[in-house]
Amino acid sequence: MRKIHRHHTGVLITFLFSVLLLGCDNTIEPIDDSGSEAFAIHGYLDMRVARQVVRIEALRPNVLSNPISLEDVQVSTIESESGLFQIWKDSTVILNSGEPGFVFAANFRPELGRTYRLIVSRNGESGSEAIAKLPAKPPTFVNPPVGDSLNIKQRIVLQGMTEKPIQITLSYVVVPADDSGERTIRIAYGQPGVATSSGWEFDVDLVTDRIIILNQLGLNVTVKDVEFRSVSFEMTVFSDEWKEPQKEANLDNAHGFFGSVGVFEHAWFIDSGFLNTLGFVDGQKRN
Amino acid sequence: MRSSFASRLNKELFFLKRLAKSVLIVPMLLVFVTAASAQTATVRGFVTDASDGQPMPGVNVFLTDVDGNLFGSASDTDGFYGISRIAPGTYKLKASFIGYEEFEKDITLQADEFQTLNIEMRVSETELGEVFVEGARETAGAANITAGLQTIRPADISLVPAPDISADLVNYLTALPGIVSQGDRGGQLFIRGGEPTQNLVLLDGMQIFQPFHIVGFFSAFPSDIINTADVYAGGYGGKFGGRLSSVLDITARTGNKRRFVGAATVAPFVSTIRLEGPLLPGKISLLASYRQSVIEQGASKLIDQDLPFEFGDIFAKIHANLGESAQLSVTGIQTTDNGRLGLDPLVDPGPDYVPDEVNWENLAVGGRLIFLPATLPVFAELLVSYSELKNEFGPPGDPVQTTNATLFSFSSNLTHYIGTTNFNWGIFLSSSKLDSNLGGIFQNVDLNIEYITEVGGYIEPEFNPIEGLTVQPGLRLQSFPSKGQSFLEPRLRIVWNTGIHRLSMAGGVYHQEVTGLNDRRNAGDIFTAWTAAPSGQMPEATHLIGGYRIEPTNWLTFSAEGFYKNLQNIVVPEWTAFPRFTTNIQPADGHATGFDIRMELGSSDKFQTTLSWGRSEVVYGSTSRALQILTGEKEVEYSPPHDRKDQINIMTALKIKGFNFNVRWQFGTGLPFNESLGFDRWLLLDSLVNVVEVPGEERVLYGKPYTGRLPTYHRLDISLDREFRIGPTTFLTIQTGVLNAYDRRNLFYLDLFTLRRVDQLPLIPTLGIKLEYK
Repeated sequence: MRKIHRHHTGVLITFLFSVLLLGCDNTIEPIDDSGSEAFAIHGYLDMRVARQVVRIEALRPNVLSNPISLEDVQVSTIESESGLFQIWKDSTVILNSGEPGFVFAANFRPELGRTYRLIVSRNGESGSEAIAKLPAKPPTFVNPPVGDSLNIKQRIVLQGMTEKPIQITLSYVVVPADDSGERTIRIAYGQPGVATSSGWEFDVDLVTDRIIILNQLGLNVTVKDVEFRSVSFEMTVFSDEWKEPQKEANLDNAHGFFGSVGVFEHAWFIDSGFLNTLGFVDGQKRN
Repeated sequence: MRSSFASRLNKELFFLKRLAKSVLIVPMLLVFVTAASAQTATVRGFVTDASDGQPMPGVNVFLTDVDGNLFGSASDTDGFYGISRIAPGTYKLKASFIGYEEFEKDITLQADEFQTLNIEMRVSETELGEVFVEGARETAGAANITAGLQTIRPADISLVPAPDISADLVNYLTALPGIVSQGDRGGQLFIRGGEPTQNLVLLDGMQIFQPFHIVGFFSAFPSDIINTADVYAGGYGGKFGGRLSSVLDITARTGNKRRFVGAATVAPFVSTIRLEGPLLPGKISLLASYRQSVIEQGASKLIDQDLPFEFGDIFAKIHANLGESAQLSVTGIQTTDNGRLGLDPLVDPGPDYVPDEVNWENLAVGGRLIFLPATLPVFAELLVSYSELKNEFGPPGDPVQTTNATLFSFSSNLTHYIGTTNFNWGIFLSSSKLDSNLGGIFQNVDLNIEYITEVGGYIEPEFNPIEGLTVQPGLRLQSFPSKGQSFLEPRLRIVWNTGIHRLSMAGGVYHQEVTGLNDRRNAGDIFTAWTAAPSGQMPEATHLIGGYRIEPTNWLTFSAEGFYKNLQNIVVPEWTAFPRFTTNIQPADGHATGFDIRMELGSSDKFQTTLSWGRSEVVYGSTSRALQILTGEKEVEYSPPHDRKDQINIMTALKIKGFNFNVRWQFGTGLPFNESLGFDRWLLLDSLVNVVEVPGEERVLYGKPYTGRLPTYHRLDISLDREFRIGPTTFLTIQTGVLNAYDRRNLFYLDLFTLRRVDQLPLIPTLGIKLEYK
């Protein structure tokens, strides 16, 4: 009986002691810093330029605290396919708000379909990583031109592509009859087309483009002796990360956004009969 | 447009006709049943205190026939008792209540007679002569809980140390297990896992939208105006509806019908004046109360801390006896609250910093008629009320968020006494107007003015098949003609008293059409927008409660109760990581489970101690896209910020030589909060943004929601008071005490954006004086 009594007293003392111990603790740990240091990464690899830039920020403990120094931070990339390793250089820029921003830059032009791993670490310790895979060129199909002399269009289908491109630019290479030499006329198409079950489809407006070409050559639209050498389009597209920029699925122990911008070209031949109907002389070089 | 209106009107009329048909069946059936009960007699009436004409609940009234057979009933909140289906003959009617002289009268009942006999109870005086004996069980008892229902009387409330000499209902509520308060400021109560806007608060049948004052020790209900308060922490019957979590049904006292009495108090938090007396002696009385906070002049100076809170309330009730069988009361209340709780996370609080201000105002006016029809064994109640709430939040004088809610309500509740069965039924009709300007928060909420009409009825017979057993199945029909929606809500309540044991259970299904929206991620923002539930997503709850109570002696009561609440389609704010919230609301599901254990020792005479432990778990599950992106999970489960796992309350009241010594210690485990991973400047890269130029927006980075726990909460409050007689009927009470006696730094909230900590009140000494003319 006495043993039981002692046992109960022991349990009671332990309980009260636990409550007291638990109750005395008045600290709050509002920051979950259990993992290794994480960084905010904002930027993208861009095929259109030869200098790549990302903004890096060490996470701050609260909204009013000053930026944390990045002096000991290293940023590098590894291209998965070739193993090419590059160290990025840090610099401070002044943002539109007048505040300083910390950026890292590297001189290289990423390539279509390649994967780049960005590593951010302080003093060689494990830190943040982000992976950007540049878009690959989708299979491209050019349908035969349709229409009459006033309205000839040619449909381009980019198979499997579902997102709107950033920019499409048509390039025509032509030679005026005055023997002034080959001229390249670039026509910005913007973001034409729609997503279909086949992919992204847009139309090339050959009649309108011819008028623009002749205008740029300083010729009258009735001129029919301009030689048509080639046609191609250049398409700038976002990588998959841009579909949901807040998802951060390609970031490891990092926050923000790291994507890429790819550019690809596609050239094709136009049937001589249609070129004649349009008012060009067929000068395309077929192998 | 016109045809759409006409079709809506037709739909509503069709609805109303159908409802009217179904509701009319009930009285027709009852008239038939009542007719079948011919050749028996009924005695009923009201029990009042002879000294002031107040109704007396809980008085045992029984008849004894010549063979010694007993037939009995206990008076309810209105003092009403009824004993029906008894054989004609001569009986001895007795009424007894501890501390009062026994009432005794011989009566003769004829066949088919409905005799009304009102009883006046007289206080018995002890040999000490001048000292009034108080009833040993004047308190209802903290452990006296039956399937979620706890009745609270003013004497219970007075056991809790309070900053004001005039006690307040909310101070007692926060001492109960299963009730989580936001703290000593904010004025929000979470009852067994429910949100504050899921609590239905009624005063004399009038709905009060936001009844708790901005300082957590005070509500619109000072104990001086309360007769009884029934707290249904769940499982409430068919009479109540429209809320998912709980019902707080308060009956105000009636004024003294014999003479004018009154009281005035001064304390560091509030000053009070109460006046009551007969407008027509014995027939019509008035009770009026006025309270105004004096915090900035009182408590703020005592602790040398800025306490920018102001509140007040005015209450009045006129009660009239319309003959022997009818009573009419008209009640009005107005409350005002104003305070500065919010902190702008992006502004450093310098000397010129002016935080946002929240203010709200309740207004409610209602009439209540109770009567006993001359030829039916029926207790009837008619209620008409108008309630209004205005709530604003934002910079002082320029609120960015406003909400107005008005409610007109009519209801009728009837109880037919048919032998051992009480047949309860009723009908109700209400019309609400909801109008909000949310200033950017909750972007997907329709900001049009909304009108909601609700009609319905309920039936809830109360069977007593064997002695001690009460079975109360119920069915409530709730219809919204404008939406073409109806809900049938089954309810059940079973109580079995056997010897010293009481077993009880309750359950039911509940819907809430008018719902309140809060942004709970910011504890400093208590602005509540009232709106209609999103179309097709009516919030629904299912309750199940089971309890056991034992009273082995008259100085020991023990009770244990378990509960489960399933919640569907509740609305929660969508997750967003930006300091200035602009968000959407999202549906979520959830559940609350738990139990509480209570033990009460002693009696209110000399010594009384109550120990209680409540344990609960509240879990919400959301499939919101933002949370999916944040966590990578399809459904994200989290504990909402009111999920306090454990609560312990110890209250002791001691009476020695006229001194009342009260102590309360509260302990609660930490509430959930959002741990942050840190802050960054976020750039929305939805286009080719130049990252070397665009500054971006401040962002807090969260992990999973509410994974952190704040420190535990505990506090010791002590008070000592004594009443001195300074005249034949004039008394002076002096109260002194200390709140938060060991100066615990309890957290009110943590502003995650700035890591600023806002603590609850520190140690505060109190001193109150009450001058009362009894």
